[in-house]
Amino acid sequence: MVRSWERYLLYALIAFAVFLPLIFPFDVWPNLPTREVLGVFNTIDNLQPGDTIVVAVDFDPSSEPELYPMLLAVLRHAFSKDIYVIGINLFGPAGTGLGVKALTDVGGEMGKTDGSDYVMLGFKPNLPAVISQLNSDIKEMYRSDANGRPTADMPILQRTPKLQGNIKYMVDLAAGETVRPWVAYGSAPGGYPMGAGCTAVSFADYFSFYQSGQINGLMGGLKAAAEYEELVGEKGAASAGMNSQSIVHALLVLFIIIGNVVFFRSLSLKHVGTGGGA
Amino acid sequence: MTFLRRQLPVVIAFVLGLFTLVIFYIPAAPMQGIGDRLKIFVTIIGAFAMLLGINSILGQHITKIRKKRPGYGYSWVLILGFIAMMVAWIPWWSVPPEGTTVYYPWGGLENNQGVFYWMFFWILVPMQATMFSILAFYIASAAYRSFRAKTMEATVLLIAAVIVMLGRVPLGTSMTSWLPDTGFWGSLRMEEMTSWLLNIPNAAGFRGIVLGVALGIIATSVRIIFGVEKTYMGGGD
Amino acid sequence: MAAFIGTWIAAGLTLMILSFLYKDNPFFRFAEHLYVGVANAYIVWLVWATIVLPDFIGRVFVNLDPNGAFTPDYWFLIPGILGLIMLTRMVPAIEWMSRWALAFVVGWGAGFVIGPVLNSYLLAQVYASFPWVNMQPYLGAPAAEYVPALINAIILFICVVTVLVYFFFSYEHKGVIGGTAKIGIWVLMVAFGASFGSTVMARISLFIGRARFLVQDAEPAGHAFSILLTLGLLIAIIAAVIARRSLPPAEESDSAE
Repeated sequence: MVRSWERYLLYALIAFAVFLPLIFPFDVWPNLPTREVLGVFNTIDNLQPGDTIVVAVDFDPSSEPELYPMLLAVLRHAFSKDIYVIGINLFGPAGTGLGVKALTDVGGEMGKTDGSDYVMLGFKPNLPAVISQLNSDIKEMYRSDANGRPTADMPILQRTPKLQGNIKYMVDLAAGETVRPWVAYGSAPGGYPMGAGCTAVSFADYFSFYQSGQINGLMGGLKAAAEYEELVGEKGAASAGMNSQSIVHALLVLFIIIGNVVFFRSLSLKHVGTGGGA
Repeated sequence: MTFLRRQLPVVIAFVLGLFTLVIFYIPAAPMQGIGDRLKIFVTIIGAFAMLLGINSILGQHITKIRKKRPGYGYSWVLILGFIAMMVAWIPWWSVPPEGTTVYYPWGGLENNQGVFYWMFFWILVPMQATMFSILAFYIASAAYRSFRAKTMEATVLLIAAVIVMLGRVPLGTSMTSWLPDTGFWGSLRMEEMTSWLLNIPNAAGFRGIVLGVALGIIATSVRIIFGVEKTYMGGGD
Repeated sequence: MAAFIGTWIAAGLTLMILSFLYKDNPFFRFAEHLYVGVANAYIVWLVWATIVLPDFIGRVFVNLDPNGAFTPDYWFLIPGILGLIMLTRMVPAIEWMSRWALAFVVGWGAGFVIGPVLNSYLLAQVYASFPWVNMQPYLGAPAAEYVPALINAIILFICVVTVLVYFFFSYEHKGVIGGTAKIGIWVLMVAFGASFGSTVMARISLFIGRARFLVQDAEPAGHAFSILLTLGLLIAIIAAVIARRSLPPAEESDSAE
């Protein structure tokens, strides 16, 4: 049983462990890139200027701390190589705004124009229908983009009228269960490779698809976002948070060990008590 | 009348389900054209369905205000917030053409100087992000309170959790960075152990679950097409 | 200027919601209700301006494209009418009509998912479990690479088979099947443990994101405020530890464990 002061002590310790490294940043532990993140990075790195990729902003503000830095890093990478980006949101309504902001900010920073270098297609419900239709004709499904501009004359969509055969790669930054539908209705029938970024909640889950090769890269959580930022060369929000993450994880492992030690000690004390009495 | 209420929906589901299943295997252009149309149709219908949830929430809170149930002040906050956001985007008169620099505060997300955009990024996004961040504390509390290695299986779960928790942070990988890069001792590095654990036993476990899910999806779909499964239509009749 | 006010409002709302950790309070409920109201209005905008207007009204009634010619496509009256029928769910008297629209969408979905799910969820996943498939890239590789890859491939295959045997409840889990199922449980425990470790990471990351916003983005007051908050937390920790030493020990109810 946890007494209330124990609960608040726990909360205070966690909050303290998070705030302290943010106020006093330090750079001691290196963040090594993992094979899974390099899968996505190398694929985008090997694309040629003028290729088109799709970045699915399949998350909403509830996963923003993990996936928004990932999105910014991927966009910076793509734009720095003059790759065209089609953004889309199929998870929840609120993600459209995040996609619009990311593309506008990073695009503006790197001199890219909305409509010819990138486009943010908005949210539409019914995932299988939308993904499947995008493979055959984007403009039929999206008559206007997230900003309300008609897509009929957009240069980027004249270049890429459909996904099948026209795009080289697809990255799904997913907060929920959108990676597998993208594989089943988009990547596999459309014949283009696919990578995924996800929150750490579903990170372990998607490994069955990474191991089978249906996705060729998997970026999970804040760590992967920090790795990607470091690979791109511009450290941002994710790298700033990794120190806090390290300390809190160490703290939690300590909590688990202490909790188990206390539990087993009280068990053995009870046994001694009842064994002596019997 | 009962035909319209009970049997017609089942017939619609049967016809459409069978049709879409069949055209998956027919690559002929006219069939695919009809298939594409249907995809856009269901997307539009799904959009209308999104409005149903809004109606239910607004209805609930308006009733609370009307009947002055306890806590109806908060319902006023909800309704006023809703109205404010709605007023922020409704175009009072036509939007100036693209390229002009007239400042106008209304409009949706496309107007990044507007009030709607401002409210989205400074009210909706921070609040939605923070709501889920409270879970951090609850999961820490749960880890301390209830994570006991009582059985062998629970111990295996705990060890896997600890390896992943340490392997996914720079602190953990630095703990074993003194080990060589390759060879047997290299495979005991924290990130190698985590990677093996995630790619082999973890992938296998979740693969079993994915296969089960896939079989469940196919079974449910067949049941819906043949009208055995009618729960999606809602209660009542 | 707008960003300055916005930062303060965002920081204030963040703290109001975080106050729930202490207990349910009026600030939290205010922020929660405000969020629900604003979010619903956003959804109304999204549905109307980005879906219904361009896809339905723009196709059938009104020409939205200033450059192109307008050819009304009356087939799109079907989803429009079905959509409006879907909205009858709000009126209990004619609620039964919404079943047609629901049947349309659900029936379409049921037929549509079978093929791709069979291909990608079932066949591709089963294919990737076999050792001879996983060893394809390693044929002709030196022994130092080949042997570990072979061991991993065989372990993966065994793990997948044991998990599937565990999920097969049509036969009683006794004897050989029982033993195999037991190994399957262990594999699942590893998977769930990895998932738990990952989930912990995700939840902490969400809070780190908000804390980073309070410390770094909410300048100039954010930095000073965060230092005060951290000092406050430190004092709270010390106070809690002192309180523990002075209070009499509370009842241990390990029997509840």
